[in-house]
Formats: sequence, structure tokens, C-alpha cells
Amino acid sequence: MSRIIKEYSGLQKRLGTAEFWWINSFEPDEDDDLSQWSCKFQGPSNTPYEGFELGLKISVDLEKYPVSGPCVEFEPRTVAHPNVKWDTGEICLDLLKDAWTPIYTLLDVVGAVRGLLEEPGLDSPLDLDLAQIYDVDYDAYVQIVRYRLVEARFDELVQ
Amino acid sequence: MCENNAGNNAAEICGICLESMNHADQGELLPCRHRYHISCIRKWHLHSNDFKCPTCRKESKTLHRKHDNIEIDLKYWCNVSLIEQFAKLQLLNQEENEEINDAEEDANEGSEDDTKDEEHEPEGLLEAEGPLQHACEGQGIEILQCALCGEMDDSVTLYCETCETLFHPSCLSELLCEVGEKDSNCTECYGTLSRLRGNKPSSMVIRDSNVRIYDGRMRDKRSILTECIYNRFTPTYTVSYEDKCRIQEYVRTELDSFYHRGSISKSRYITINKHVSRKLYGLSLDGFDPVRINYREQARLSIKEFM
Repeated sequence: MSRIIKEYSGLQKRLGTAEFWWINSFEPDEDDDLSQWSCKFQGPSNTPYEGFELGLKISVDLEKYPVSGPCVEFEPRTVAHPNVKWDTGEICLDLLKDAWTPIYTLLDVVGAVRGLLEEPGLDSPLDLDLAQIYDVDYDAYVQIVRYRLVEARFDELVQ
Repeated sequence: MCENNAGNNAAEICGICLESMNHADQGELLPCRHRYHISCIRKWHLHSNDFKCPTCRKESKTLHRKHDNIEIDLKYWCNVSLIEQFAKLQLLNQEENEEINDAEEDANEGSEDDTKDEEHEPEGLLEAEGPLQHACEGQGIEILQCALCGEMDDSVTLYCETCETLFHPSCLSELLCEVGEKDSNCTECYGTLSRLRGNKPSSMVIRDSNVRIYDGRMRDKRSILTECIYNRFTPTYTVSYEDKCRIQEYVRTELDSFYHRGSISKSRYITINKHVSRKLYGLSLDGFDPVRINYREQARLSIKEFM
């Protein structure tokens, strides 16, 4: 419990450093409840996600954290990615499952998700079709990803 | 990746809880030398079900407490017989210290030195909190850990008679309630559970740095080394280490009489001991059997041959 408070108090300072320039915002949804967090960050450059702001929803089990890792999903809009389930935003990342150790912080997790966007793990895809397209026709893959991102942004504007 | 690292000494932070560590509650994993709070790293081991370091993922063998130089074999941490041995040793140490203190006090009333002060401090606590608990204050190893919640406190009072796993009674009854069972058995091996006897210690100290835990038992450091070396070189005889020790006992008893009379030198003693012992091992290929073989007589005869 107190570990998450420690992280929270150190977070704003770390966000100010050059290392995390790509994070637009990262804070708990409610100030008195540190179990739900939202993070907005810029899509990494030289990827189809460049120029788009992406959002993550991070849920922390305060009883078990940091022995158990947090749950992370893309929200409010999901992204097209070989390791992301399109309809739910679920992310397949070893760090969030078997490879989790309490030494990682929430910032490390966000960094790892960004790393996944830069370099998809094609050995264990959640979206098999997209992984196939990535392999065979990278340009088509880029088109699909960007189409989905623009579509989602448009939907948001309409609402 | 993480802001703290194992290298610096000043206000070191535990990577698991992000709190600072003082010397007493700090444990160093070996061989990787990464440091955490002992309770934090134990909680993680319990969850991960292995002894890997959270930082480097290297499998650890021992947890080292630097300030009192105690190495804990992770494999045998939760072991009731060990705890009882610790408790006994602790009581022995304590009695010895008290005797020394009393003697010192009688001898030189006026002169106060630092070591004496340190020895005195726990005595006050002893009266207040019972025989074993005084030792824990500030310096003890917390060795009773609940296998369900991972907490290490003195309300861990149940243990399995078979596999010696330890539990909080409250954790166990909560679990039983959840799965709708009535009989409480060990969650690991389904063995029968017992209550820890009497004045159970909440934590313990080994003061003697020559004592190590090996193969689940408290042992003298040198005897462990001997056994390790012995095991490395496969013995020519099929006689076990324990049997050899017993046989050597006979040979030594017989030889000692010669040695004490001054009729043989030390190096001669060693040579004869070696040869005679080997000869007797050869007689005991089916195991140590004092009924069938008269070791004393055999040893005496063999020694005479050599003289």
C-alpha cells in the first residue's frame, strides 16, 4: 500500500526529466484512490503510431502490489497492434505476466508498453492476422494501423 | 529501469517497497548481491515460488545478513526443527552470557567497557518479555513465516508435521472457509497440523559465525566443508560418512593410549590412524555392524601390526 504512495510522490519529479518527455500526463483518476491510473503518451516516432496520443488505463491491486503487477489496457481507444486485442485493448506483454518482478514501477510498465509499440513481439501475437500482415507487407500494416487511429480520433470528435 | 542500485551505502532504498533500509533489516541475496528488506524479499519469493532475484532474475541460494554475518539457506527457511535448534542455541548463548556477565561484575565492579554494556542491554528486555524474545529486539532473524500470507510475526503458530510448512491459524481458517472445508490440513502436502510448542520464539539470533545451516541442520562450518570435500571425491569404500566417523572413533581410542604414553609421534599417529581405519572400512562393506565385528579388537590387532 505505502509503496504506491511512494511511487506517486516520486512520479511528478520523474515525469519532469528528459527521459519521459513523451508522457503527456500520468496520474490517478481520483486523488484519494491510487488503484486506478490513466496515462496519456505520444506514439513513438518512426512507427505508425507517431503523431497520435495514446491512452492507457492502469489498475493496481493495492493489497497485492507490488508482489503482483498492475493490469494495463489501452483506453479510451484501443490500437491496432500484433500484441493488442483489438476489441478489448488487452496487451500481451511478458512483463505484465510471468516476467513481472516488484522491482518494476508503473513508469517502467508504461515504458515497456511504448517499447512494444516500437517493436512488436511477433512470437506470441494476440492478433494473428495483423502479425501476418506485419511480416508479409509492412506498408499495408502501417496503413491499417493509421486508418484505425484516424477512425478512432474521428469517432471521438463526433461524440 | 529502477532508480536504486545495490552499490551505494548511504540511505539505500529497498527496490520492492521503496522505503529506506537500515542495517538490521537488510538482507543480501547471494550470489548476485542485490539487497532488499528481508521481509520484502521473502514475500516475493513466496509469491514467485522460486528464489530468483527481482532485479537480475538470478536464482539465489542464500540470504546474507551483513551486520551479524548470518547466512540463511533459503531452501530451509521455514523448517520447524531448525527453529527449535535455533531456540536451544539461543538459550545456551544467553545462559553463557549471563554467567560471563555475573562473573565480570563480581570481579571488577568499577571498570565498565563497551562490550559489557552491550551484553547488559538485552537482559532488561529479557525480564520484560520472556526468555526468547529479548534476543529478537533489533537484531533477531525473523524466521517464522506464514506460508499463506508471507507475514513474519509471532502469531505464526501452526506447522505441518510432515513438511514443516508454517501457517497463521487465522490465514488457514480463512482459506478453509473460502473453499468450504472443515478439517484443517497442510495446504502443501495435506499432512497433519500441530501447534508450535510452548514458549515459541518470534525470532532468533546465532551469535556464533562458525555455525551454518547445511542440509537442513545446524552444523559447524568446518564439518560441512569436510563433508562437501568428502562427497566430491567418490569414496573407494561403500561405507557411509557417518559409519566412517564411528569406526574412526574406535581406532582413535586405541591409538590414544599409545600416543599419551609418548611411544609414538604425532605424524606416526596420523599414518597409523589412516591405514588402520581403511582396513576396518574394508571389513564393513555391508555397513557398520558392531555386533558382527569387534571393532575394538580389530583396531588393537591392526595397530600392533603397524608398531
